[in-house]
Parts: sequence; structure tokens; C-alpha cells
Amino acid sequence: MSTDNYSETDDSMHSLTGAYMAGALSTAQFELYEAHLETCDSCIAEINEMELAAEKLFFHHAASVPEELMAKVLAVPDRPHPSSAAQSAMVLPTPKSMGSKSARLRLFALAAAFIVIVGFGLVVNQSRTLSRAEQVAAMNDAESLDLTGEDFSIELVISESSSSVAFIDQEFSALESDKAYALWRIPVEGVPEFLGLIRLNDDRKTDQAFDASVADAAAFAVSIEEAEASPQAPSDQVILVGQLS
Amino acid sequence: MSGLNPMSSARARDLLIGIAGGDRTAFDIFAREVTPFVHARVSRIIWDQAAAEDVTQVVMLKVWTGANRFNSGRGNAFAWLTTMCRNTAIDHCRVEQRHQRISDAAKESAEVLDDNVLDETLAAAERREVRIALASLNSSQRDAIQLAYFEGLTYVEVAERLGEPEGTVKARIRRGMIQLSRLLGETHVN
Ligand SMILES: [Zn+2]
Repeated sequence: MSTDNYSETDDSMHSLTGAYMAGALSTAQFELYEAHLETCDSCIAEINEMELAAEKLFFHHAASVPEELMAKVLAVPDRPHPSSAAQSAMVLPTPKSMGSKSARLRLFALAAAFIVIVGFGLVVNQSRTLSRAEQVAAMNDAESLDLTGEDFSIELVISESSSSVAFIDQEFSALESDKAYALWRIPVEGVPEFLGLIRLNDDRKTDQAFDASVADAAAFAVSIEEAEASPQAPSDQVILVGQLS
Repeated sequence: MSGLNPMSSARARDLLIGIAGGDRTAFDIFAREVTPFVHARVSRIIWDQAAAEDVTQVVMLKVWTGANRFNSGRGNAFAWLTTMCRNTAIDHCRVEQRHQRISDAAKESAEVLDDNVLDETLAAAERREVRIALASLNSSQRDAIQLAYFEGLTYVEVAERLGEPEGTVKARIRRGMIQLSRLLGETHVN
């Protein structure tokens, strides 16, 4: 885990107040430090002392924002209404019931038919790391879909017009080092489609996009697969599911 | 206290709590106010203007999708936002290596406070106040804060750049930020 690299003592955590307020921590350090803030009143007192400096420094420099950029910024995807998530849970098998043998076998027997590529490297090539620009372009008509499971949930952004789906800064639960998450498209009719393995950075986060036909998709799902071995024999662990309305 | 600021930490925190709950109006207000400053921050790390605009958009998207991860009870909104600007820009640079980080170029910290990317959104008096306060710090504190804040370096990178121990740099930034707040508080009172 990334945080293992920063298993600092409390003493050294206290001394990070200034670096925290100056935005001078790496993502992993930042998250560890915010966790420290949960319990450290002396750090809270000290960062409050620095608040004015952080505000003034942040607002010191402005750059003009073209109208088109502001329009794009404001055009964030809609969040699914909580009730629609509840409906999804009723209509689609939950991750747990997906684990039941018949459903599981049906899903993966069909999915396996699609997987002709073996080996981690080749599978990875099925998805592509979009540049930020492409990623953003994919967002403009996009909606977000909650993929929910027992342990955690993430958001998948789906864009019908660009036939792509993407994770934007989504954090996954820790996995054993020989396992990887895989993304699947479950069509309205026909067989589940393997979209690719999900590549996580040291913080277990990803900004990754996949080609995927959204128009005839009924759901998207995430499973746990062997990172190195061939996914021709899919695991039985479907851990996240999100159904499209 | 922070009367001239477009937005206080407390106000930003309130808006982020709303955004975390899916409040589009809160996001609109927040985005309209902070995007020019996010854009400036990102532009200091990414040379390419089009790329800087894309990354600015991604940062604001992360505000929308990730506000629930902001430690709204105890964390500082601008620390969160500044860190996200820097780390998103750096991630972008890793992917698109053709956009060099400004900090990799031969850019002296003395130039860091130039106004090239600025427009006149902020009152000149307000910026002058910050400059004066920075100038009042001792030079080692000022250098550390400027490298961190205006060049987007982590304190570890600042230490590498200055050839100083990390602990020393950490302490300088800490003392400098406290001192800076005091100085800025005094100018407000006056
Ligand atoms: Zn502490």
C-alpha cells in the first residue's frame, strides 16, 4: 500500500502542517495526513493559524478562463438519483447473488467466449489510457453510473456518443498483488464483454477509459481476476455492479 | 478577517459539503469563483495552454466527483484544492511527457511571482499585500514556500532542489506559513 511508504511517526506527522497548507504533499502523504487530522487537535489548531496564508496564496494568481472552458467545467455529469440506485439493486442481481453459481457461470461462460487474448500485457492493450483531453471530451455528454458492491462503490462515467466509459480518479479497495480488477459490459441481450483490466496507481486510483458500446448495455460490472494468468477461466468474484436505466 | 478574499476557507468548506451531496448550485458557485485560480495554478506547472485548460477541467471534475473525499470536518479546502491541482497536473505530465513541467525548465524562483498569466481579477492592492508579506519572511522560508506554492513542488522536491534535509524544509514551510498568516492578518487589521 502506498501509505506503507509513509508510515511516519506522529511526531513527523505534526510537522507536516505547513507542507499540507502549502499544497506541498504528494497524494499519498496528503491522504495520510488528513487521516491524522481526524484525531489531532494540535494540528487542527496549527492549520487554522495558517488559514489566511493558504487563502491569500490560493487567490494570489488568477488566469483568465475562456468561456468555452467555463462552460465545460460547469457541464459536469449528472449524479444518479439515490432512488435509481436502489432500483438498480432490485432489478439486477446484486454482487452477492451474482456470486451464486448458476448466474456466475452463465455470465462468465459467455464472457469467456470473448476472451481470446491471454496474458496481462495483451489484455491491457484492449483498453487505452486516454489523454486528459480525450477523457474530458468523453465527459461532455456523459452520465455517471454507480458501480456498487459490498465493500466499496465507485463511479463509472459513460458516454454514449463516444462509445466509451471511464473512471475519473476512482479509488478501489486493496487487492492481493497477483490479482487485478476487470471491467465488463453486460449487454441487454447476448454475452458479457470483457473491456479490460483496470490499472491502478500506487494510491489504488485510476483515470482510465475503455471503448464500450453504451447504447445496448444493460449494466457494467467489475470482477477480480488473476493479474498474470489468463482470464480465460474467469474468477467467481463479481464485486461491483451498476445497472443502466 | 479575510474580507477581500473571494472566498474564505469556511465558505469553501460549506460549498464542498454541498457539492459532496450532489448540489449543482453549490458546484456552480464554487466553480465560477475558483476556476480562474485553479487555471493559474495548473498553468504554472503545464506549459501548453490547451493542455492546461484540459487539466483545469479535470481538476474541477474531480471537485465534483471527489468532494465527498474531502475531509470537510477538519481539513482545509484550499490545501485540498491546491494539492489536487498540483498532483493532477503532474499526473498529466507523466502521461504527456512532451509537456514539460515549468519547474524542470530554467526558471528562477525570483521570477516566480511574475504576473504573466494573471489577469486583473484580483485587486492589485491585494496582490501587493501578499508580496509584501512574502518579502517580510526570512529568505529561506520565502524560498521554500515559493518553490512549493508557485512552482508546484512537494516539500520533498523542494528539499532536493535546495539540497537541504527534508526536515529542515518542512520546518521552514511550517514557520513561514504561520508567519505569513500573522503578517497578512496584521495588514487586514490596519
Ligand atoms: Zn498532529
